[in-house]
Amino acid sequence: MNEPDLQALERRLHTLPPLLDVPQSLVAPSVQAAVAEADSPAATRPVPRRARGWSRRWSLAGVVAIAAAAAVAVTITVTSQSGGHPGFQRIATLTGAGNASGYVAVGRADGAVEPVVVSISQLDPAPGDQYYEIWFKTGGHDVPGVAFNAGANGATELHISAPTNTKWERCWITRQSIRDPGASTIVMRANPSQQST
Amino acid sequence: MALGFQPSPARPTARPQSVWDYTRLADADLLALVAEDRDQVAFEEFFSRYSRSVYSMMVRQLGDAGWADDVVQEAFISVWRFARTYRPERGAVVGWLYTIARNAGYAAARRRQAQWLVDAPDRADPSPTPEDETADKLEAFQLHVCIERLPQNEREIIELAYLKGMSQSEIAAELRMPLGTVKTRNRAALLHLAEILEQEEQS
Repeated sequence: MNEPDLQALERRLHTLPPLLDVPQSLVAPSVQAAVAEADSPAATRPVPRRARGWSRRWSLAGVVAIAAAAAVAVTITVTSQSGGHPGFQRIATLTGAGNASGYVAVGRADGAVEPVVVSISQLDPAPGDQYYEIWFKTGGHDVPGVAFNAGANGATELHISAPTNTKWERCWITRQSIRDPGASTIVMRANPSQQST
Repeated sequence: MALGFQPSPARPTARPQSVWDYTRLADADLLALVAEDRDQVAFEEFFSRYSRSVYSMMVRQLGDAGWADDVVQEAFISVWRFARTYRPERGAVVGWLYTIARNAGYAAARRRQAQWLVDAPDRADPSPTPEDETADKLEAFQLHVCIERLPQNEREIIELAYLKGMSQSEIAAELRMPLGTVKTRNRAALLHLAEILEQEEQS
């Protein structure tokens, strides 16, 4: 694209109204409401073959392949600390089953790596044969982060050194089965946030 | 919108096996999965791609964020119901979705006995005609959609610089990065956006 075209694009962008963040309350309910309403007996469309909510199965082989392809180094520790994180920008909130909630906060990047804190509360501890795993996007790939569990009080905090520009606003947490690695259920999802910690 | 009894858009040949497979599918493939399999994961992915653009459009048109919430919900219910009516040969998904969203806005306005679009002005009036306004709104919607397709770091710069009108110095302070980096990223983001727009126009 030549310079005049770029300048024209800039002028057009200056007149464009802002993109608004979708209210957190709208994200999941609108999907669920759409499915529920459109597939109610009164609707004209056929009933879906399955109603899985957010659950989704995938193969462990796929997980490993994607993780290897992404080839990113991620260092993660899990602690039971909580509280504010000065200097960190809260970029996403997490919502999920029951009252489970949390947030993702990102600190100042150091080159290709940035510190990230994922704080979770009111997440039921996984049963003995299950565990949680956080997933995030980087370089166009979805990468499994770390396996963890919630404490007895439902709280946990993950400290991650992640690649910069990771799309945390679209991270998600799954509950996995030790006995059946291919079985997983999404239990929490991220939504963009404008808050600061 | 009439449902009709037409064949639905073609399903992607390889069925997604995992969540991330959906993130790589084209919009038309997602709609095909919604139409054929009533695939909720495909629907969620479609929603995540377009909800911000549709919501922004509704708030702007209806002037009421609470009302816009409801209408956005109705628009996506229509996507779920009418995914089968999308025809790739008739144009890109963006235009199809814009029509659905606009119709949801009209329907909502009618229910409230309000006017969504202004009455046709006197021809001597130099203000834009309803057709011009519709074209402008579609173009704005398309631009928003293309901005949403940018990577996070580029989208952030474009939104702050143009949609929120911040100076590059202000952006540098906001993002805690050197001014030179802001300028470089701004330029790269613009070029990338131009490329996405060109692809969208070709589709």
